[in-house]
Amino acid sequence: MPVLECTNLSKSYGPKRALESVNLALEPGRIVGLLGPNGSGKSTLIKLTCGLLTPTAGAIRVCGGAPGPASCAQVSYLPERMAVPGWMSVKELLGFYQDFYADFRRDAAEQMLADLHLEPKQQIRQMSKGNREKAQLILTMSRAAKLYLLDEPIGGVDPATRDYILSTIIANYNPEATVVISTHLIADVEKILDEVVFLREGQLLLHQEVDALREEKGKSVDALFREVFRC
Amino acid sequence: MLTKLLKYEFRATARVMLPLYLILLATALGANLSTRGMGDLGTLLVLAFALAILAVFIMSVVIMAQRFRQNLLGDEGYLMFTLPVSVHHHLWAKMIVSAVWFAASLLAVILAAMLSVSGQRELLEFFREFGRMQLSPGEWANFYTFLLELVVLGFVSSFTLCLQFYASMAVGYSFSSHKTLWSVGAFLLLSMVSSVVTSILDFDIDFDEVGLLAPGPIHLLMWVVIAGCVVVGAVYYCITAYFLKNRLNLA
Amino acid sequence: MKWQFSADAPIYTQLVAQIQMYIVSGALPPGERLPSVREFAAEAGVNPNTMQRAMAELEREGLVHSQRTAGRFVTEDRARIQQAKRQCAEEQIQTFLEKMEQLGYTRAEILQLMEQQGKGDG
Repeated sequence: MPVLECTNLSKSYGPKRALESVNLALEPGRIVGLLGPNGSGKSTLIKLTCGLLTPTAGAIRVCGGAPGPASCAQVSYLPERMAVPGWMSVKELLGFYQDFYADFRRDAAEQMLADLHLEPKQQIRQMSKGNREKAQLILTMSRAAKLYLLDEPIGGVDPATRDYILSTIIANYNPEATVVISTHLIADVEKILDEVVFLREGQLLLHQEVDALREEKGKSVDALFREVFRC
Repeated sequence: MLTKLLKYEFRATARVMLPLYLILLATALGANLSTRGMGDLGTLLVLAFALAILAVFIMSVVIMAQRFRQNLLGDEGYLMFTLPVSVHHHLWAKMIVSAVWFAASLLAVILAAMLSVSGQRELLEFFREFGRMQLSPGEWANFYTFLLELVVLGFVSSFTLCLQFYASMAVGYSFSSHKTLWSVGAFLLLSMVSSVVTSILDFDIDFDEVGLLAPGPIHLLMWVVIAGCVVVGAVYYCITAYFLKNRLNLA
Repeated sequence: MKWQFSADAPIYTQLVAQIQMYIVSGALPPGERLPSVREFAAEAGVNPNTMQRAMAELEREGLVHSQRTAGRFVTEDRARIQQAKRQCAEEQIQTFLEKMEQLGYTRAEILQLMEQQGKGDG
């Protein structure tokens, strides 16, 4: 059973069409790159998946059901912006996640906090921008979810942290779970992806395995992306 | 899940409300001191107390609206609406916590008021008068029933007040831009509609005819008002839940 | 171990080639226990499924073998490793020859150059 299944999925904001009749199925155990320029519908697709938006037309199924509280328990979402309350400390946030998510692994979170030298007693609002992003990412990756939705997880962090994040994604690999990474920094993530999904102006352009694509086109996904989306 | 939401909602709001109550009690003490002859300073202290009372009431309402806007419709909404929690639990958590703070604010102000006049002879006299009131057991029962109805009305109207703010913001924030403007517009519209509807349903009891303490009409009136409040609140609730579930449009 | 990937070929074939190189060069000695697929993937910075696929290919070629509970090991069949080494060498020479011929050298000239180079080093 696919972890995520979209059937003729469309979303409009008033007259503006953000997603047009997308058909997509993602199987368990895959690391998927959701790629496209800004405004291509990546975030819209992710928000529809975690139930922050309602489709205008078509259907979306997450872990076998419509998005809702039941699917939220199995989906770990990293928004592209800071969503955790600034007045809480990292330690309080660990408690918060533990309270609401049965699959939260506190020991894993504490290990990652130590690895990235984050001070658990510090309030989120007192942290540097980079450290806030790390804290939020740690919370997201510390869950044993069925579907991870990472919206631009490596956009604002330094290269060392970027490597740490990518190796964390690999180390957390679970054959039952799917990881969706939305990004425009393709070269950095390409090696860890099973398959890529290209979106352009709200339409699904391509959905293929990375190695099959490299074999067929004789070039990296990054190079292909630059070619397809040339300005 | 509701209890967990309540726990964090209380934590988030107590950070503001509890210090405010402390300030209120401090100004109440100041006001109490001022009655023992302090001239201009005394006037200032009384003024500070009055301002603190005002601040407590205003902040209770501001915090109620602000928490909904910031925690559910702002960036924190990305976290809150992806919790495995239903929209109804979110709504009840916000309403219950707000209503509890309204009640706590009222109690804090009453306490502060008593503190500010404690040690005054007039106050003791007032309570003695109250104790000497000659009422029959029936009248006492009537009085207590009325108090109970007042408490119920207090809570019901608190919920409805919250829900009017929530419904307006849920509607206003479903637009892509000018979210605040749309919210204010929705608030005015809801106020207008509800006042038109209640004026149609309005009925008068002539208290000169039946007497204020007659047991029947006053309770009937109270329950009609409570029921009206519940109906209006339920409509607001449905609007809010619908927009949060189907028309959510986080910035 | 260092890992480098070029843009023009599938990642799994490059993984196979690099691990093969580590085996024939002795960086991964015969009988050596390999890390788990997940650890190995994390070390190389590649997708675990890709690493799994590379491992399956290496198993098919007889360079590694897995034991049900103990994990995966480099083969102890030294003859097989030698054969792979020879194969690698032949591939390298083939590429080298092609490039030299592009430069316009004949086989005889190439051999002569090689000999001189060898002496110079000695």
